[in-house]
Amino acid sequence: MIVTRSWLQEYIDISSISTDSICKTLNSIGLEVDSLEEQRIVSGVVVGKVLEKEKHPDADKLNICQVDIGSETVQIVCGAKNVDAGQYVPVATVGCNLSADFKIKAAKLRGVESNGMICSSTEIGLAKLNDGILELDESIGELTIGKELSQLPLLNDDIIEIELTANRGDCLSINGVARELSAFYSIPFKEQDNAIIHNDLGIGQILEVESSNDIDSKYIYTVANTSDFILPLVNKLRVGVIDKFKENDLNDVITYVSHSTGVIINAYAKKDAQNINGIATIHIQKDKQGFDVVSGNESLSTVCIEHSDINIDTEGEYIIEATYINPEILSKKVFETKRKTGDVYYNSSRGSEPYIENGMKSFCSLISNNGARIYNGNESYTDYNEKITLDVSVNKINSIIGQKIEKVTIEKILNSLDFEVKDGANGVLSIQIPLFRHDIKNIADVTEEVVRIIGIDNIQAKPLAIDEVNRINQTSHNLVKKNKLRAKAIENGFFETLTYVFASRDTLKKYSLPVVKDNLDILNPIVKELDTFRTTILVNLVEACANNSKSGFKSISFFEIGKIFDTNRGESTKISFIFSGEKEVESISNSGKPANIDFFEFATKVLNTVGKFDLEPMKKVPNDLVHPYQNATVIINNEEVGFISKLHPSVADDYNLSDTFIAEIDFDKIKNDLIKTESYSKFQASKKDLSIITPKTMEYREIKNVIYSLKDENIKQFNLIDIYSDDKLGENESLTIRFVLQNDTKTLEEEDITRTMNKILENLNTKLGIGLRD
Amino acid sequence: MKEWLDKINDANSLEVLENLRIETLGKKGIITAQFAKMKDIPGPEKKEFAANLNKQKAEITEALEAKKIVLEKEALEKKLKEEKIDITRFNNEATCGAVHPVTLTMDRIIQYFQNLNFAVEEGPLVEDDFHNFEALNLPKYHPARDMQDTFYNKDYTLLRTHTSPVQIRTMLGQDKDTPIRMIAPGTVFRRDFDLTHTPMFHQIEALVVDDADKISFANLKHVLVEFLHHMFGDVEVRFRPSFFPFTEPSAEVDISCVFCKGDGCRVCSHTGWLEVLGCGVVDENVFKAVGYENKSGYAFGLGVERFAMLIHNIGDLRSLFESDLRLLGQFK
Repeated sequence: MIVTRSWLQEYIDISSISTDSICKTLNSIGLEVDSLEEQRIVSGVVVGKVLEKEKHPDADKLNICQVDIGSETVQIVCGAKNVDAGQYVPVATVGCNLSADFKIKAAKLRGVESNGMICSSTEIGLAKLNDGILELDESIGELTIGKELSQLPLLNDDIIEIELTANRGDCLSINGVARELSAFYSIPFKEQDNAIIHNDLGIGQILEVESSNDIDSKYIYTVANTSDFILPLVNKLRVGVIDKFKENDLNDVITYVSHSTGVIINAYAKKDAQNINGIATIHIQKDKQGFDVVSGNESLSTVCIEHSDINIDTEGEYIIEATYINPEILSKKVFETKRKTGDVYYNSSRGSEPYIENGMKSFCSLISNNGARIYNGNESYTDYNEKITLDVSVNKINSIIGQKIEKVTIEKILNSLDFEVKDGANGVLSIQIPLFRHDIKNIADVTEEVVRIIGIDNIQAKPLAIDEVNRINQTSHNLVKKNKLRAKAIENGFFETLTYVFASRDTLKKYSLPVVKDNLDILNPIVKELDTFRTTILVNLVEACANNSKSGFKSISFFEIGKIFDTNRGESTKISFIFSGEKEVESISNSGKPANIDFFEFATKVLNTVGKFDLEPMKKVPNDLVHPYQNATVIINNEEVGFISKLHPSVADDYNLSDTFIAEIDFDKIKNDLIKTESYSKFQASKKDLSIITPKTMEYREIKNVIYSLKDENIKQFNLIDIYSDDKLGENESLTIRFVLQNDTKTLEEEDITRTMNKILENLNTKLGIGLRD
Repeated sequence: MKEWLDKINDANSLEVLENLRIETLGKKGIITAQFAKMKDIPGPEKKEFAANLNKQKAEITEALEAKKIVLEKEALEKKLKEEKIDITRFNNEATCGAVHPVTLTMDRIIQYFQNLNFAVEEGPLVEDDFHNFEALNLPKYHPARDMQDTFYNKDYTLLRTHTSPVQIRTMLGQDKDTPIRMIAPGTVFRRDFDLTHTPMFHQIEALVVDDADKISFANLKHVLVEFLHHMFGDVEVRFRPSFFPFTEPSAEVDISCVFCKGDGCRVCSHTGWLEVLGCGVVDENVFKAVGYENKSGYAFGLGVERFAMLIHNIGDLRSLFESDLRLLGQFK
């Protein structure tokens, strides 16, 4: 919603209030100021009068004009088609700086001297009105030749753009905003001079309106002849300021009056009405869906829903319409019927001005004072018996606000906003709501009116006492766990990402990932790349790696804790990891050539983050991101909770990535239990290494299982510490396992150790057929 | 004797000193040899000889020990010197990862309200019309629905456009008499994608409910002013009346621009103010929708990305979702 200082001035006298103060007030009463533009014409632009115009001898498109600029008559060469003798025009005189990089200088145009420039509206910083020069008229003030245009207040306006909330349809007009300012500053509304110059003919001889009883519209109709109507410049410029100028006087005056008064105005060519015995007849009745439709020979408009363009009447006779329908009736019906709506619906659904007489009067006055002829009288249906009355308790208002506001203050505020207030018993006020405030329905709404006019700044902040309630719940526990995982992931070098929970259906399918069932998927995705729900975080992480790899990073690692969806769109939380490329930063220790990360190093980082788990070979490769020979299922408490894998090399190729590893684990399955310690031995521990020759095809876990099966209490721990193979070993390799041996009750003797080591060897030999290197 | 003491004094290594010890006090050393002569010394002179010899032995022992301390010190000093490293070769780039600025900001906000004894609540991302709109006093025909461009699913569910449905779920999920003091942090969605909008972002919602007349707008004002000072430091806080369907009275809250201190700059569109929050007294219709009677309450909601951008000086909203290490690496 755009208002200007001079336009507001037509409704209330704000001459003593600064524009800054107005902006501050608008903000404080809930009309948020989006922007303020101070429109100023530079000095050196003066009113000039074109005395003579002749064609340039050497240029078809140029005219040589003699222009009176008060101090002298200057010759100006002008290229505009519409320039003519007798016009008053803005002249940028020699020496004037029209803009920072445009100074007017005396010049020769094709051999003819030119001393100044006749300007278009945009050249002097006003709204665009035509393709030629701006012709001035007296609506902007008295046209004294030579007068600086910067001295004319109507051309040097402050333009304020307000962002209105959806409930404040009443402020979609200059009238409405002025009403608010009037309440705040206690400045009375100006009496509008809406004098209408009427035709001698009465309306009854020319127009008949037939309306059915069940319509929702209030209406006023009259007829005007606009053949000689010219919209004054000041009105055109204002229509230009609100960016709705159409260079058609009838359209523009309708826009002007609607914006000014808030009343919805429309016009029809009289020839489009039904001609019954020489009388133009229009009908208003409900259509099948229950909307009020105006028709003549054919359907003309749907009231307050869609107004079509005005047909041209060659005789210049137009039926003028002002209408109002309660916005709630409109929006409910539109929702129910999904009816297509036009531009007018924006205002009508938010609540246009219900007192339509004011709009019609203002319209008739403006056009009849500028050449149009108006028929006397009108056809109307207006009934304002719908006002609602609320009984509100002053105490209740004060308890909502949290501060005592005196009853008289509340009454005064409501009165200033055009609410009729009657003082009832027991501190109850009986309030009649003005029709234009259809958003006021209950005591909270009334309280809001009090709050915004008093000013929230004047409400004292009060702390709420803290009550001792244990508010720790499952979500708090999850938060603690999440933060712990985050901290550990970061320690292990992973960067946290936040990526969209959307995915591309095509990409998911390409990698055989699950896809949400079609009938549950997003109806109106925003772009094709985000047209479904993600079923894994990993694709996002792969894409994140690819982008960073493009910007030159060689070691990239991310994790994300976030929601994913199953095929039934069920939500679950995952923690996902990715590590791509070099395992550490380039440094002295790796001579600037760090090796790429490998499976075990990656798995260790994940382990360090999520806590103890076991890995088992995958039974079945779940999707095409997974490397078929470097993958594992993650097991926590004998339950499969996720997987770790090398990224399939063809996926890595798709994204131009080097060695990349991925992991995705159920967040809910990760344990965050408090740790219970076990007793530990204080006797000397011994370390013993065994190097065993095994076939390369044998899984290490077979060896582990044999050792576990011994259930030897002296074996505290064992780890693979070396793998060796050479030509001599052929299809075999040598595994070195280091054992930590320790007893809980004594220091182990050499013979105890030998006994245990022999037992291990015997069992490996009998159960797996493997043993020491010969 | 003097000769030996000089030799000891001139010793330049522990090795040389040890040799001197052996030559003097060792088994075949000169002092030891002198002691061997003792048995041949006649009685009357014996006493003086012995006294003299003991004195010499003591002198040499003392000299040896004193020199040893000096040489040991020198040796240690030398060893330390050899261990000298050039610490200016240190690369001060940390090798850890980093938390994302949005979750970092979210954590700070959550922590603040947990300290005020607010519970933390969550809800699903896929919502139905009732929880996301209807119960929040946004009937289907309400023009305010235009404000929230919604992602719908083919089964008429939707992606929540705000965290407010968690309010409804919390109120419905508990005994109506239990007072509520909660925040709901979470991911929300709007169908909007340009310079200043991403289709997914994060909000934190708060709701406080108690018996009628217990909670007022003045309480809301207090909690928010304190909170904004905690997050943004010494800023001015301004409340502007506004409109949200689920609160009445409603307000938007601005802080004085953290970049230009209120003078006006590009970030604050030359207004000197930055809008950071929406809030209000819970609308009666919201209580009605969940069957609560005789209650009072307040609610507010904020966009976490906006906070993160203002606090950490991040210019481009979209960069928060681009996983770009050039941004994230700065949070190490």
